[in-house]
Amino acid sequence: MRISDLLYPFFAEITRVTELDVPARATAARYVGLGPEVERRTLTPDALGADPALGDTDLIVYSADAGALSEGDLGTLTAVLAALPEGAKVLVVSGDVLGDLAQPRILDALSRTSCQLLRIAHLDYRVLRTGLVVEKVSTPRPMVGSTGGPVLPRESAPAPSVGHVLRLHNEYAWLDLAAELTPVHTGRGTRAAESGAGQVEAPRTDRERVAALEEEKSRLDQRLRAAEKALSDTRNDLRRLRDSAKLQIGSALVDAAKRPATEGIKLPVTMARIARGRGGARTAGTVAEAPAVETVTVPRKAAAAPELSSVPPVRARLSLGVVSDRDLADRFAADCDVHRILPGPHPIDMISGRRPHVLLVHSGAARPGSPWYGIGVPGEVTRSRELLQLLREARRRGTATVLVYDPEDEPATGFRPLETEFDLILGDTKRHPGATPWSPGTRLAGVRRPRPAESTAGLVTLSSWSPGWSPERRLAAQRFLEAAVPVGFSTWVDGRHGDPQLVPVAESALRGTVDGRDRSLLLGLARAVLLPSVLDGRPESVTDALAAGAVVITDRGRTGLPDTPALLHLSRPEELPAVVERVAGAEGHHLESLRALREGFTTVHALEEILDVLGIDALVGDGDDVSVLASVASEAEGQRLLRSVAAQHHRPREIVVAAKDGVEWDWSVEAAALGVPVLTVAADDPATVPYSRLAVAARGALVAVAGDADWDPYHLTDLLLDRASTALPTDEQWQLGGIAPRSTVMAGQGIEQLLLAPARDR
Amino acid sequence: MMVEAPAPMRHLRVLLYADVNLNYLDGSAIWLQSVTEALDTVGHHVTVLLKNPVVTDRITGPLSRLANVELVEPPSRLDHAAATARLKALDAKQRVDVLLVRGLALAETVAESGAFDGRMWSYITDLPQHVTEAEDAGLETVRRVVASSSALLCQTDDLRGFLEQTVPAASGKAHVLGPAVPVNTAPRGDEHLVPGRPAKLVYAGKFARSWRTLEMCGLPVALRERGVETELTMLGDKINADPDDPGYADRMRSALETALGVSWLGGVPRAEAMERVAAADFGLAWRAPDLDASLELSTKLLEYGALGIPAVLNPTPAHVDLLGWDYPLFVRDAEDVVDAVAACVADPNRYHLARKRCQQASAGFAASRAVETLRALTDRYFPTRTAAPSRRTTKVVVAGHDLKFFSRLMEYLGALPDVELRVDKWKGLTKNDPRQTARLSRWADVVICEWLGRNAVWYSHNKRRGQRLIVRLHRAELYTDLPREIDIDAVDQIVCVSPHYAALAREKFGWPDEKVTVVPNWVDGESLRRRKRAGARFRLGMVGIVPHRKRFDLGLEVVRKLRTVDSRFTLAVKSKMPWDYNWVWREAEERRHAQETFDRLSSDPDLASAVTFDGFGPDIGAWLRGIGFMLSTSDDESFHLSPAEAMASGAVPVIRNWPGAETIYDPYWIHGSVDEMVRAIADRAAGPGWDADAERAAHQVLSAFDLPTVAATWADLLEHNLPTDRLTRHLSAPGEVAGGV
Repeated sequence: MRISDLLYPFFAEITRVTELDVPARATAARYVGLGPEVERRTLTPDALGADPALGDTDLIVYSADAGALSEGDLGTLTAVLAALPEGAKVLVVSGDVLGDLAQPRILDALSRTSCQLLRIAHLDYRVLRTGLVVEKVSTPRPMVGSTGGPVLPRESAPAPSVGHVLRLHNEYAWLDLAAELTPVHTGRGTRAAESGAGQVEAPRTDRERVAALEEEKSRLDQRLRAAEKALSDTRNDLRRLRDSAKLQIGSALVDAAKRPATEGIKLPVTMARIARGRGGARTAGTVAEAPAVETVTVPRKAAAAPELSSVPPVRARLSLGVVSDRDLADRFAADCDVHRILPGPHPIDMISGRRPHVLLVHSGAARPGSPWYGIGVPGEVTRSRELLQLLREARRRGTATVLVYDPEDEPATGFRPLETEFDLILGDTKRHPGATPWSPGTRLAGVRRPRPAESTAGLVTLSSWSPGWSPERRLAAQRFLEAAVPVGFSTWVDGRHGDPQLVPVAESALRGTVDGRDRSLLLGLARAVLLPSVLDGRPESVTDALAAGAVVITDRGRTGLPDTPALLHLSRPEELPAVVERVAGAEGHHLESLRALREGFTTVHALEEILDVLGIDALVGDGDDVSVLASVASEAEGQRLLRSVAAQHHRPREIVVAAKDGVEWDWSVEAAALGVPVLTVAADDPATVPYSRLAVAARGALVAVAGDADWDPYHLTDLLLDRASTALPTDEQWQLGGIAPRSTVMAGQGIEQLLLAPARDR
Repeated sequence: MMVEAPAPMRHLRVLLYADVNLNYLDGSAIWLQSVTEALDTVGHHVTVLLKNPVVTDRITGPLSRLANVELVEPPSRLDHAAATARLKALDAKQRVDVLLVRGLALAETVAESGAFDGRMWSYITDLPQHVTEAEDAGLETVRRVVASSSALLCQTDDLRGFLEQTVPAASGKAHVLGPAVPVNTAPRGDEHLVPGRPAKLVYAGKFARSWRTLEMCGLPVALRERGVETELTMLGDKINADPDDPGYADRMRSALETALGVSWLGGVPRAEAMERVAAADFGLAWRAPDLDASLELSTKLLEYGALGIPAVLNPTPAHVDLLGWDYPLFVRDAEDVVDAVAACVADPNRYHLARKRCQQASAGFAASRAVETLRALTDRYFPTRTAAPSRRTTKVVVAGHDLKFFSRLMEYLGALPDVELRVDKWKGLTKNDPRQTARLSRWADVVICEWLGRNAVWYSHNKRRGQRLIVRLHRAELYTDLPREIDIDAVDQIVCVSPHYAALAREKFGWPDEKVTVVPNWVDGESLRRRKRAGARFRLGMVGIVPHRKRFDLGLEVVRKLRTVDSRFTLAVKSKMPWDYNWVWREAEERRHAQETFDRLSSDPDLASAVTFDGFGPDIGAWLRGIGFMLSTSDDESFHLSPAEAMASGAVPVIRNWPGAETIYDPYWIHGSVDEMVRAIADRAAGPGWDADAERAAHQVLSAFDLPTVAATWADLLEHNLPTDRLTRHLSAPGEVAGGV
């Protein structure tokens, strides 16, 4: 993006451009694109604060020193921001790429100086890589959520603090843009790998520019030729692999596993012979008649046919069709392929081509805002009829069907006549006799956000205020709120489920409505979250909050979670002040919570529970965002690892090879086959691997540590999570900023075993 | 302003038959009793054919004493065929105006006989009530009954909507006849839950497994274990066998006879039953959850409420609507019943809240309500003229190729006692059967040409002396040359639907002022005014998005912008698609616009998930229950009926300022831009504004465009020309009085 494009929305507001005269820096003011009628001048940062004429139509251009924003050297920036009057804007440009910036520190600086991040972008200049536009504000502009809806308090509600709200807003704005950037722009290692020379210097003359560009062209040509050769070799390897009997049988097994009922599958004759030789029952045709294809029965579960399990099963991703609100679909999106099905008159169109293994219908789909609004409402016909046709078509195609009753949806009785159409019903057993209790689980990945140096969110209650609340529940909620507000809790309403107007008593403590990702942000910022069952009936609320690093105060026992220091129980609202005193003592124990969640409370576990009941073998997980942390002992072993990944549909965003000093193994062919960039980071002694670098790589990366490392990956990962999520005043801390550690932790077994083991065993 | 006296109501001969044994006291018997009493009150003469010989006169006794009611007792139990034969015989003896039947299978038998086609009013209750049942059972029986019936009566809005959506032919003739509670026993006042004596529970009705009557017999013991002393009185003598549980009837009887704390009084006269219920503290109406999806209300609940005691019952959507979410006696299982009763016994305020809610709910279903409904139905299907009818019959011909915009008016005019109406159906705007047209022209006193096509041209050039010719002009013909071909001198009046188009017509064709008048389109308020679904205020509607001048693209822009404010906003579209109309799809410009609009929709996942397309059909009343705001984003309209229909349904119209909009609708609803529309919607949905505006919109449209009002104007038009300065604007602005429609 050009600087003029970055500033374009504010052109009408700017009457003067002031460039800060900081030594040793190229000017950025000439790129702002404003007309000659706009006054221009140069000041020193010190003079800026003394200028009484500075106003809300001023734009200050500040070019940060190289490395200043990425290394967290924010003294000048903070001084500039502090000197601004309300309404004035600053264009901050930096030669550092966006992914390298010390995000938490910058956001802290913005919060401290009451500045709001308006825009942030990667810039299309060789020496200017990142630009930010910020504005000094006294009252934050309303923050918008992932759907564009407001997530901040209504105007009449007092804001908890400017800093807190700004922090939420700025973090949201930052993440929203960062998510859209390609990997090549997001990592220090990537840039280093590209340039091979660390810091990029700006050429001083045209001749030097020509020379630099020719050198760059030559290097890229060389890389292109190497990549083309690697690609050709890889194509040959892949062709051989695809044609192998092993892979074809594996594919057949996957197909069989996708079907909930045992049934014949079509195999080429030669494959049929092999399968039969390993125990598959023959059901039609004979080999002598040599049909082009014949049918053999392949047991659904590998466990039922150990003789077949000697062929390593190829694992495919679960394909999930969902009739739900966006939240549930998003929750599972990382662990399987989720297809959100929209209503329409032709059910075949809705699932054809996708062939989901499971069709999951959520009672929340009936809520306002959902395209399936009205479904399950007695007397409503159009949507219910479309759903019925969809369910019957799914069944005809062998897709298992699951109904999930959300505890917040009352009474949802229109779903009851549809229950016989489902293979499995999940929900509260009291309200829905015959249902199976279940929790949608928590995604550890992405939930935990870096905690700012000054956590201002404090104590938070989340509640849904469902219209379906009984008087008892309202009364209990009122009692909890009356106890919670005096000890410092703020109330946030879950925008997915409720209407804050329903509970007037909450209004005095109401801070706003949260939705989707913003909810995760809030949980990540909260020191403690109050979640009595009367305030929120959804079991995943507790696990989400624990995963986000908050201390949870709850009265519910049905989560089944083992006790952790971060899970505090109370039975009566009157106990709340005493429990809050214990919150401080619970600080720093979130790793135990994470370990407890990892044992059985993730979305992967939730999906596998469904698959277990339906008789579908594990197809969950190992998706794009899984971090495989493994040790390999040789070059060949590393190559096998990558080939296995390619064959099993892993598509990590990047591959990071942490090589021991002096090791120069070449995995580029395998990496090219995967089609993802390779990043090599230097590793020291495995016992002292610089965790920060691994943590950088852990963002959806496949991490392989070369050498004969023999450390415990659990311990390493815990350490990574710990450092990545704790505000430590160290040099590493800024490097860890913005990292969302992934969910799956790999054990240090052999690679084959590691990849083929069910997700739950890891 | 001169206030005209209301037209006198016609007194009908009604034949009534229900597939119900009046010797048992249950809900269907009570229904027959209450409907008979209501018809008698209206003033109709009612002949009730009984299904069974009278064994006990608990129900029939009071009926036989009514002045306008005649009971016909069969010698033996009637099956459907025998009942149909008896009904035909009674009709042959003295022709009836209406046959009112209850029972789907019976109604089908009657329908197949064809003897009462166009005169049958069917009370629909035992049809499949969920799409799963409807898809599996098929609806052929219902379709036959709907086709043969002139009116369909349903107990609730939910059931009416379900019927209309599953059998579209029911739209326009389905009405709600809610349960009526004939109660002759006064409530006991505040003598409830007297300290020191056991709390009294009561159940009155049949004993059946899904009615949880067996489990009820265990309640006194369970409550005693909770420290609450109670007595349960069971009234009724009908124990249903259960095919899935052969021992049920024996166990039920045994429980009634032996359970601790239970008094079984058997069948008692209705008056005594009422007294026993009124003497209790809690009425039990708790049922199995598989009945929760029923679309009908429990009459037991209403009876309990009318007698001043609160009902213990399931939180079905219908009950929640009626009693509120925080009603203290909603239960799901026996444990809930014990908890709820114990809590009320311990907390008198809680008990009195429940009692008050039930009494308020029942008040809406008093017998007088049924009388009002039946009176309105009589006026609708058997209208009379306000002015004294002419002494001779007026012969009216309606000529046109597409009569859907005139259908209900035609039914009204045809039902007038002094009007005989025939239709000259044209095959297209220019095609007809010349011999039929000529024959009808010779026959008619009044000719109404719906659309100004060749029909109007022909009739204007072949008008008989003394004949009246009225032509109804729509927007489409204004842009053709056909209006120039009519003999305007032969036309008595040209009727436009809006002042704006009347002015355009005068200006364009130079017609004399007195030839052009305005009669607005009609809306069927009785059919459209229904309770909105929860969340409707966040759902926008568009009816008809073809051709491009309807500006579906602006509708999308409105909802897109609204979703940046609140993600609950969605848009429901009820329309055919552009490719469904040949005359649209063959236009390259239309195809291009359609392509662009749908490309835009599919390229924005959030917007795509916020827009649903519902099939084009007549079930507009049921569809509008889920709509809170109706968009009218067109570039040009002559009237645009859908905002008016939406207003009648209780939705808020959001109208773009297309030319002439202000001559039809209150400027309060008209907006100059998409952003203004977005602001208006967002502001209203967020607060109480939506409720107030919905009420205001309904009031405006029903006072100006309601079917009876517009139809009466057309009846006047048969006789004489209307003044041409009738309207400057139909709907009133704040503080104004609506113009003289």
